[in-house]
Amino acid sequence: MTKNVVVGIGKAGINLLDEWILAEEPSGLFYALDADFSSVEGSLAERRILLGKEATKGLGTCGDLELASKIFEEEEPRIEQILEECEHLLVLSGLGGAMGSAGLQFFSRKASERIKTLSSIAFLPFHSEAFSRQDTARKTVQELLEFPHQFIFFSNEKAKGVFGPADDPLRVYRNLNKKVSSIISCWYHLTQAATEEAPFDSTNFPSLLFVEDFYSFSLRGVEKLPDKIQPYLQPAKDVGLEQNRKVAWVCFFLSPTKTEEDLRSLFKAEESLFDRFYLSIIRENRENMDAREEGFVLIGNAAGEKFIETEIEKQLERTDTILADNKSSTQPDDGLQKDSISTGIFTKGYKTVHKGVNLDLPAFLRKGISIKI
Amino acid sequence: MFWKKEWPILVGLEIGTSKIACSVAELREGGELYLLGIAESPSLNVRKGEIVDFELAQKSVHDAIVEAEAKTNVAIEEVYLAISGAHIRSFNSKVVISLGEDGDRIDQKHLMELRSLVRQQALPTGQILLHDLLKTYSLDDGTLTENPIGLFSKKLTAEYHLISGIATRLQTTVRCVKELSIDICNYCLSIFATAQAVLTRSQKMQGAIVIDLGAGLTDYIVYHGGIIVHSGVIGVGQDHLTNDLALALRIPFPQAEEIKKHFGSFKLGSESIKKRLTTSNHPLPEERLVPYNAIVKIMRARQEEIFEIIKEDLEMQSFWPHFTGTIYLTGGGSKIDGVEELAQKIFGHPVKLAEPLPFKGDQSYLDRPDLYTVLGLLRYGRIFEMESLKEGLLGKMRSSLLRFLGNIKFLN
Repeated sequence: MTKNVVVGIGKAGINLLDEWILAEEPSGLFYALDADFSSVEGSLAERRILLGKEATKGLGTCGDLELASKIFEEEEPRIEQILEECEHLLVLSGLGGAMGSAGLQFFSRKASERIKTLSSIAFLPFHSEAFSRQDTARKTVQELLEFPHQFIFFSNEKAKGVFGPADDPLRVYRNLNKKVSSIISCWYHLTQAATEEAPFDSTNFPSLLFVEDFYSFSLRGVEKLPDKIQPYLQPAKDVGLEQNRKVAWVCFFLSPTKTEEDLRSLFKAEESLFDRFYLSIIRENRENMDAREEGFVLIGNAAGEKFIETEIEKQLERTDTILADNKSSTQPDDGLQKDSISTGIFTKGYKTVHKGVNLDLPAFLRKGISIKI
Repeated sequence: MFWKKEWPILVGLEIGTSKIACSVAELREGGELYLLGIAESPSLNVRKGEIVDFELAQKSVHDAIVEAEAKTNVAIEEVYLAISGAHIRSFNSKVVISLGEDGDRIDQKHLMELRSLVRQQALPTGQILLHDLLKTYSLDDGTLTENPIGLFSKKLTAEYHLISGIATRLQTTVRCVKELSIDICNYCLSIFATAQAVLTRSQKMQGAIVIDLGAGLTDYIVYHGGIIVHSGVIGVGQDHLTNDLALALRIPFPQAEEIKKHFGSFKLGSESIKKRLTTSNHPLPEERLVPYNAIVKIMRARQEEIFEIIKEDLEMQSFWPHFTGTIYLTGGGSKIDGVEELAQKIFGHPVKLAEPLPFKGDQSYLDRPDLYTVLGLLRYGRIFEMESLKEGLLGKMRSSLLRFLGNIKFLN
């Protein structure tokens, strides 16, 4: 039986998988699953499976969640084989699109039927993405919370300004992918190193984490680690632990020359700052990794269902407002000529967009304020 | 013919959305600023603080400088340039150095090391660092200090407020000035300069937010406990209010601007009040009676939104729950009736209209909040000039060389 298998579902999942394969050049079983031929064909994964060939002719599901769910049900025998042949499974996907959302739900359900723990890394859509995508993401998260698996959710929106300029979501997305691929490495090394005597310790991997902040760093010496991490932990102190239930996860690639115990003792003081503190130490065995001493910290909120629901609800509220504003701005009001909405002098030059709203459009129109002239 | 000046001359230049302003002052004994005058010229094709038409904008800059020279009898060769734009980003960053297991006495070289570390921070592609503003130093036991020199510690942490911008967009502004054979002494984020003009040290200590309601942009900066903790720029300004009016009333932009100046207000009045819209420069095809509240509602919707975006951003910062200071409004938009009340309603903090710190010389610009940035540039420049004077001729040559190298870096 193969020890660990990584599966990328849908465009976002396959992109992330490819990013990781490019960075790590790992050996093992990796699957790329999608209904879109171009996405599957271009993947670097060893095994590429085009799903729903009959239903979509390789053109993808175009965001049709129902169709995607149907495809997964129909392709069950092919997909179940993946679960059959592995001990640990990591599913990568984006939530919002049809294949990623339906696929992650499908794998979660099948894994729990077989009493296997599944780990997953999923992206939540940008606020500027379509309402339907936000809605799909919300519903999928709610469904997923029913399963006892390990989910790490990355909010694309919160990566804005951290991994790239807020007005360049493509760059943010690409850079976030690069960073998140390190998390896959963490999971991969942990599961790879597991033996019968020392099985994969799931307490080293967060069971549910909604990532708010992400930091990575490299070190020359382990003794400097607390100095490096302290500044990053400071913001967590400021926001108040009681309300936010802060969770930190430090993943550390440790060279063979350092002792694990030393590293653990260094984090003793930091643990008290968080409600939950995970420390994953990945022992590097490869000879050429002698000099590698790098780690990354994820600081997130793992208040569980409530938090995630609230977060998604907030996203939805924003989307609703935008939709309502756009709707009202297209309906003529008494006394005001609103048939053609213009940005006036701002037609030329850089657009000012804030949370998906074009602020160059008149504010009173977007807000639906009735003005009689 | 220009007078030969006895005192060092400082010149501030701001390429704003509505106007180019150039301030000239003498740096007199004891570092006292003596304002000789401010020249203005209307901005042509500058939108949201950024140049849209290079040649037209350069002509406006040229006109402002020529006017400033004529007004003050000073040959302008170098300026302190205000920089802004919706692409400006700010963030806080901490850097730490270890001073050995037994600790060490902190000296200047440690501070230099920290600064060099923070400057090496990776910025998103295409961005360059404009300012690295020191917030505070902290020692291994968490003690915060402004000056750690001479103290012993095992590690030293420095927290900086970093401000960066997109290089290509900044280059346009820089070239616009440099191609007129005007040297740039230094760059300064507009709102940082404005804060220099209006905030005293004690106001900064008590906590202050300066919001500059400019024509193209709204900039803000936050002082908490005497240090800068946050800043931001929104690509929405007072021109948006005018644009909204123009679109709602279906009138040309210049006419809407005039209506905003004459009748603009954020205070709702009685529904029955109507204003007869007539303007001196741009007569309407026919006189119109417009309900006063319609104008207020249009302007208020926009201004409320601007304040709400700022508040939303502030609420995400860790200092906000502890902030007890005052909000100071500047810029052309601060002259609109009712803006203080509106800001107070949204922020829930005391709001005041900013007043410039006292200075000597020409006092005719005291009630011009739209000129506080160029006044602040002079104060910003004073800091550099005073340091050069302290360092003497060698120091001056060194800073000229650094500036030259800095300019090359900026233009490459």
